Amino acid sequence: MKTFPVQQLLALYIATLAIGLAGCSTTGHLVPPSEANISAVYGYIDMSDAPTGLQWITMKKLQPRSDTPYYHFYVDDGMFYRSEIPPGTYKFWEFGGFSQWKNTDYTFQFQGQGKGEMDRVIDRQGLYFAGCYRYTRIKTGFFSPNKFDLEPIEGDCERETLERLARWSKDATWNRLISQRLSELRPVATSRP
Amino acid sequence: MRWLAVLLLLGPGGCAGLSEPDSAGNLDGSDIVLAGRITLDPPLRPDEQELQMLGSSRYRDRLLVAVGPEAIDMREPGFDTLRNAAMVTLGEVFYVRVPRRDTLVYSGGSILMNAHRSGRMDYLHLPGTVHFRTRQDDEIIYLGTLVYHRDVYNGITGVEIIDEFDASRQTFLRHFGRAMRTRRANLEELQ
Repeated sequence: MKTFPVQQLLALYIATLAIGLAGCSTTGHLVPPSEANISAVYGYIDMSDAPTGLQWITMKKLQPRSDTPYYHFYVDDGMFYRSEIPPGTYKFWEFGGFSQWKNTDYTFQFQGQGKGEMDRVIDRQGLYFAGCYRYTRIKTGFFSPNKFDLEPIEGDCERETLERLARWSKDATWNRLISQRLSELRPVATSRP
Repeated sequence: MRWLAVLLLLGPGGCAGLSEPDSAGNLDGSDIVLAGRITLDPPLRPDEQELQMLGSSRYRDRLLVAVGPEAIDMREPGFDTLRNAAMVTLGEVFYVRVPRRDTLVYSGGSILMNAHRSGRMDYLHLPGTVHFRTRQDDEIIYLGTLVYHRDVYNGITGVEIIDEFDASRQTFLRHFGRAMRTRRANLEELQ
């Protein structure tokens, strides 16, 4: 029987703990566009007021119709992003995360009817900013499910999010588009807290 | 929000308080028939309603309409709202027997668009809140053909009321086998 030194077992335990504390969110690099019309979408949600951190967020393609309409995003500390998005009309669908403290999975649904503030029409290749928002809880009293609102965050949030996104881009096309957009954004006096 | 979930559990529109009149259109004096047709433009595609939840497929191409003495907020209805609701089929002429009141309010409808295995349910709400007066001798009040125009996000961009009164009277005659006293609803926006 193979034995493990104490240091290796300790390292394994710490790694497992770290993965557990980080939750289920996943990160990865923007994929080089396979075609000339492939885009990327990014944004940020401050979940400080939510019962869980942001660990996943999905978007649904409304048009053109598809057998696989749901698009899942990478998440990095409130920032969400993904590439490989073809032209179409999209609607943000759900977001949420798992609270280890409460051992509960939280799912927050975007409004199913009507165009939401984050929803984008992607018509040509580019970086599409879905916006920066702060989750705010709307209390509804005992025995009623809590509601939420996503308040837009003003200030430098897009620039800060793009700078973070740049760390997840190794591809020349995305690097060029990120740099181009960063050069258009000027730092403003107020910033998110 | 959860009333359609209750409907799913209790049966195919069986717990909606309003129902069709009998095939001969027999009414006692306390009821009146509201007739009309509701369509979507563009119409629902066959796969557009994602009805995965057990029992939810019976809501394909159907909607819940609300008619009663008072306006109902279809987005935040209570359980008692069901007393003033009926399940009808999109695109087909409907007949709903409604307790007679001097004034009735049409509060729109709700289409179950998503009933996912995860528990997520979404509705396409059709706005209403128009009212109309009735007379003692009315048997059928004709609402018209309501065409709800929608965008790709299922936002309602306009409502068109098409008057097909003369053709509808013939339809009513065939349906009930007798001429019933029929009058157009004089729709007025609820203040």
